[in-house]
Amino acid sequence: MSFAADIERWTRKVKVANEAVFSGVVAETKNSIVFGSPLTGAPGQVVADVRGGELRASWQVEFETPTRALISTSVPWAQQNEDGVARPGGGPYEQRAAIGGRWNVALTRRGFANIVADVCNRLGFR
Amino acid sequence: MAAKLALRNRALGLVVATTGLTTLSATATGYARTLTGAPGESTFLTEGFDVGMELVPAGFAANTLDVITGVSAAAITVKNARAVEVAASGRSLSVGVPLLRSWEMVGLTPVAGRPYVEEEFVHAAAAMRTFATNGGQMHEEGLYILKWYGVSTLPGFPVGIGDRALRKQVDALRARFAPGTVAGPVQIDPEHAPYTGQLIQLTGWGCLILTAPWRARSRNAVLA
Repeated sequence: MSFAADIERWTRKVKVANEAVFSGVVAETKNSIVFGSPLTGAPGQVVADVRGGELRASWQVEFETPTRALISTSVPWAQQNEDGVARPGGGPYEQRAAIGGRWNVALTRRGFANIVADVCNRLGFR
Repeated sequence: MAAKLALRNRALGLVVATTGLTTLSATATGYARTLTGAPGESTFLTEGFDVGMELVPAGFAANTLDVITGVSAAAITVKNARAVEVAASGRSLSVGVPLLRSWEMVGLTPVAGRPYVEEEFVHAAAAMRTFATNGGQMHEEGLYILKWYGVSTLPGFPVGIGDRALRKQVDALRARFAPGTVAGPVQIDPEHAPYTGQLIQLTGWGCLILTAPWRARSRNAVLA
C-alpha cells in the first residue's frame, strides 16, 4: 500500500462513479422527456398521435463526448407540441391525443436537479 | 388557483412605458406633447414607447387603444386615424400587457393587427420535505408561462417591424418575475431564473415565450 496507489484507486472509483451518474442522468432525462416522470412532472410525449406515435418514437440520445450527450428529435412539429404555438399562423396548437402533453423539455429542465439527486440516491452516492 | 391569480396579477402590473399624468394633445394621426428643452425632460423616446406596442390612452375624450406606428421625442403616430383634441393636462399614454388576453380556460380569437397574450400555469413535481406525512411540508414547483404575440406587420413597414418592441416588452415582463420574487403563495425560484426563448415568426405576429419557474411550500393534509 502506498499513498500513490490509494490515490489511483480513489481516482478510478470516482471515474466509475462519474460515468455511472452521467449515464444514469442521461437515461432518466430522456425518460422524462419521452415517457414523463414524477421527478419532473413532465407528462411525456403524446401517445397515439395522429401520425401513429411518431413523436414519442423519434427521440434519440447521442453521446458526443464522455461527458456530453445530445437528446433530440427530428420531427418537425415537435416544437409546436412542446410550446403549443401553431406555426405559421399562431394561436393554440391543438393536441388530439389523450395521453401525453406539453412542456416535456421545459419541465425536464425545471426538474433536472431532481433527476440528478434521484440517480445519485439510487447509486448510493447520497 | 390562488397561485395562478397571483402570478397573473404580477404580470398585469407591468408598465412598459408611460407618460404619467401630463399635458398631451391628440392629432389626426396620434398624440403630441410640447417640449420645453429643459434638461432631463421626458420625451416619448426616453419613456420607452416603440413601434408595434399597444398604446392605451387615458383622459382624452376618445380613449381607443391602438398600435404605435411611429415615435419621436414629441409625437407618437398610431395605426388608425383618430379625433383631434387640443392639449390638456391630466392625460396619459401607457403600454402594458395587451388587452387581448387568453387566460387559462378562457378562449380568445386573435384579432389581426393587434397583440395578445396567452397564459399557461403548469404544475411540475411535488415532494414531501419534512415529517410527518400528515402535516408535513410539501414542496411544489412548476412553470408560469406567458406567450406574448406582438404584431409583425404594420401598414407601410417591412414585415418584422415589431421585433424590438416585442423584445423590450417581454424583457420588462421578465424583470417582474426576477428570481426570488414572491407572488401570493408562490415564489419565483431563486435557483432558476425566468427565461425567454427565440422569437417565433408567425403570420402577422411574432411570439416570445416567457417561462417563469415557481415553487411553493404547503402543509400536507392526509384526508381521513
